[in-house]
Parts: sequence; C-alpha cells; structure tokens
Amino acid sequence: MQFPEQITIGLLFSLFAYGAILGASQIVAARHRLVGLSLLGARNPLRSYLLGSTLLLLAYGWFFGTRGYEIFSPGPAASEFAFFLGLAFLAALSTALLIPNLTRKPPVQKISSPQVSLGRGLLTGSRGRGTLYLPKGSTLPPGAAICALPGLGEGTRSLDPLATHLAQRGFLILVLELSNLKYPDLLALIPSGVACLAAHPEVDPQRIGVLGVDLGADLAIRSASGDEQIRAVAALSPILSLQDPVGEAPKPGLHILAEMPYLQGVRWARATKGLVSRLASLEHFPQDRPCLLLWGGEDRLAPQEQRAVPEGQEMIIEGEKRFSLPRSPAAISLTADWFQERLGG
Amino acid sequence: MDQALFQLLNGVAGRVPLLDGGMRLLVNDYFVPTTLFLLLIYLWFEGRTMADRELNQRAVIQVIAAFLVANAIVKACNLVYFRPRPFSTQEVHLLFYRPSDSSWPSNPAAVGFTFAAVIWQRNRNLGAIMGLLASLFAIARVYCGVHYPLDVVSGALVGFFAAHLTARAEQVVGPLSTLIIELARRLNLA
Repeated sequence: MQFPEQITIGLLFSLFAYGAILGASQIVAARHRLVGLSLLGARNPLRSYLLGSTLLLLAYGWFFGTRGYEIFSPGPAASEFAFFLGLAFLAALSTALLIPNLTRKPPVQKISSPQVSLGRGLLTGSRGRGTLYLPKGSTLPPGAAICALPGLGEGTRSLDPLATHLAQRGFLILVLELSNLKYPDLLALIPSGVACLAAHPEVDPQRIGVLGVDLGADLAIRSASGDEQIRAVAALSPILSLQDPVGEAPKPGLHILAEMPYLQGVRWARATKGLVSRLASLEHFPQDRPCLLLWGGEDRLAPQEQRAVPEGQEMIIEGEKRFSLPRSPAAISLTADWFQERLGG
Repeated sequence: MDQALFQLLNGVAGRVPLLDGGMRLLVNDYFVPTTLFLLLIYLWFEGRTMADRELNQRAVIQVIAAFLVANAIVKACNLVYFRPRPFSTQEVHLLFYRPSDSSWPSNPAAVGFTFAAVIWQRNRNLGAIMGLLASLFAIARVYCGVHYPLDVVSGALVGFFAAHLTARAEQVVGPLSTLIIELARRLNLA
C-alpha cells in the first residue's frame, strides 16, 4: 500500500468518525437538554435524538457498507489512527458548538396586543438605548412605570412577553439595552432610565419600579440601593454572590450549554466573572424597599445550593431555566401581580 | 491448546456467510475502536451533579492514560519477542488483510480491554458493554485468522494491567486529570 493511499484511508476514516461523533453529540445534547450543543435546539429533544441516530446510522452505513476495499487494506498505524480520530473529534465538536450560535434566534413574541403600543429610541441625556412599551390610550392621571433590563447577551426583545403583559396591566415599561457598557459606566444605566421615566408626562414619579434578568437583575438591585426614586425591585435570576470557597466567580462549565449557545456562554462567563463581584448586589440589597427574588427551578448557572439569598426572599418557578424564566407565563403573572400590589396598576 | 482453540474458531470461518460478515465488521481497525470512543464521549457528559460528572471525566482521562500505557507495553513486548501470525505458518481461513507486526500480544485486545477495565471501575453497565465489544473484537481477530487465542488473552491481560496500573498511580493521573478538567471547565466543556 502506497503512502498517499494510507492518507486517503485516514481521511475517509476521519469523515466517518466526524459524522459518528456529530451524531453522538446530538444524542448527548438531547439527553442533557444542552441547547449550546444541539444543531436543532433543545426545545424538542426528540428531534435531536432522531438527528443523532440518523447521523450515526448514515456514518456507519456509508463507511462499513461502501468502503470495504479501504477497510480491508492495511490502514494507518495506531498513532496515525489517533491523529485522524482527534481531527474528526475537533471538527465535530466545533460544528456542534458553533452552529447553534448561527441558527439560534431569540424566542421573541410579536407585539400584537391591541392595548400596547411600541416606541423605540435613544434615552435623552444618557448612553443607553431602549424600547418603550406604552399602555394604549393612556392616561390621566399619570400611572406607574417600570425600568427593565434583559439578561446579558439576550437583547431587549427577550423581554417582549413580560413587558407586553405589564403594559397590558397599565404599566409604562422602558426596556433598556444591556450591551457594550463597562463597569462603572454600567451603573449609570438604570438611573438614566428612571430619570427618563420620571420626566415622562404619563408617569407618576412616585410609582417607579425596576426589573432585571440575570446580570440585569444584579444591576437593578445595586441601582435601587442608591436611588430613592425606585420604589420596588423585581430581580429574575440574579446572580447575587455565589458561595465560592476561594471567592472566585462561578465556573459553570458545561451547565452554560444548557442555557445558551457556546460563544454567548463564553461572553457571559467572562462578563460575569468581573461584574458579579464589582456589583456586589447582595451587599447593596435594599432592606427598606420591597424586592422580589425569583429563580427558575432548573437554573444550573446559579444552583439553589450555591445561592446566598436573604432569608425568606427566594421564590422558585419550577421547570424554568435562567433565561427561559422571563418568558414563563407563571413568572410573568407573578411579577405583574407583585408590581401591581407594590406600585398600583 | 492454543493451536487447537485457534483451529476450532478459525475452522468455522468461511462456512456461514452471515457470521463471516459479522466478524468482518468486528475485526477491522475501525468499528470497535470508534464505538468505544463514542461511548467515552457519552460518559464525559454523563452525571446528575457536577461532582458525579467529574468522576466520569476522571475515568475518561484514566482510559487515555491506560491506553498509552497498554500501547507502550505491547510495543515493548514486540521488541523482545516476535511471534509470526497464524497465516504465516499454516493454512488458515483468512478474512482480513495480512498484518506484518508480531502476533503476540494482540494490540486490539489490549486496547479494547483497557477501555472496558477502566470504565468497569466507574460504571458497571457501560463497562459491561465495552467488555462485550472488546470480547467480540478479540474473538473476531481469532476467527478471521490474524491472531492466536493466546495473543488476545495476553492482550486482554495487558489491558487489565494497564487499567490497574493507572488506578494505582493516582499521584500521577490524579493531578493530570485535575489539570485537564480545570482547563476544560474554563472552556465550558467539563
């Protein structure tokens, strides 16, 4: 057997191993609901199981069914075999990790409610940009308002369902973008939004609340401690301070793939590492104002046993993850009821 | 006895086409090793808690270390003793190509049983599946005429020994596993 022929066999084997490993990764993604590893998303694991099994069958069927000559010829030596297998493994892993970044669309809900109108624009006098959800046909006298922040990397549209529901209940909602801002500039974001709301003719400045998701929730808590105008804080999936024996930021590892695509996860982990300790939201917890702390029961980035939560403050919505929580009907309803009680409708 | 067992197993080859087909699927260098590797990937992600998963990941790393040890032992054996393949010395039913290296000990058997022995210590079900695959791999090597039974039994013993050695060498494998898992965790892959 000639050297180029062995290379050909090695490459054919790599192609087979690539398909088989990609198939196996899809079965793993379905089994562990890893959205960051699933080519089809993790909402319907059955599709990922089917895709994984099909890829495995095709890879095995193609290689062992049609490449008899190569299989029964002297192939690569053990070290070369390991090289080609490693090559296939890296290629398949990269495919499984990178494709979800390109294909995943944030699950948004179109504003179709007749009671809500939508405005989008720059906040006056601040660095931020946000979307304004107005109750239609509002309103004299001025009503309650909420300044909201989405999760890191999630975008303002991720709060569409929650903001729409709150607007239907009569709140004026300003959802700010949480991107491209660094500490300490980040600290100015919510005060700017609150000031903008307070100046709005349809807002009662005595009835302003803040709401945040993920790091946005930590920022909301931190901002509330220094702004007397904020009357209530709802924090959905805040990180607060994870109990880590060496005081380091959490290393969520594989759990991150259960919540988001790989590259978003890398950015999230990097940003979280620096910001959680700087925001120190637990130390700035506003004792003198009502604060709702809500987590999803399946939140594996800040698991229950690692949370340092003020006693009696924690609420859990079962079956929800970190970033699915703001879209959960139970969480939306609970948050709206909670704000209605504290700020009035 | 080695020769008699070889004749017994290899004597069946060429009589039942379906059995020959199954053995040809198992005997080659790709089917069983790739399947074992896929099972390792499965194990890497398995585990309800982070601590549980870490133990599985340590087992995967131990497999790789034991695999290297087993290969080194086989190479060392090949240097000191060369046993001709069965097809070199007698008439056999050969269902595979003619490997040119030493017949004893069987490297494929060593690899298969290394995987099975390490994983058996961590996960009985997966270890049993790997043990079954390794056994079929070894039987197919004899059936197809490329190894004597003693070669594959010796290979299996090499695999068990490599697994035992890496389990005992916790001072070396332990820190290495910690380092690899820490690195993988930083990359959000562990």
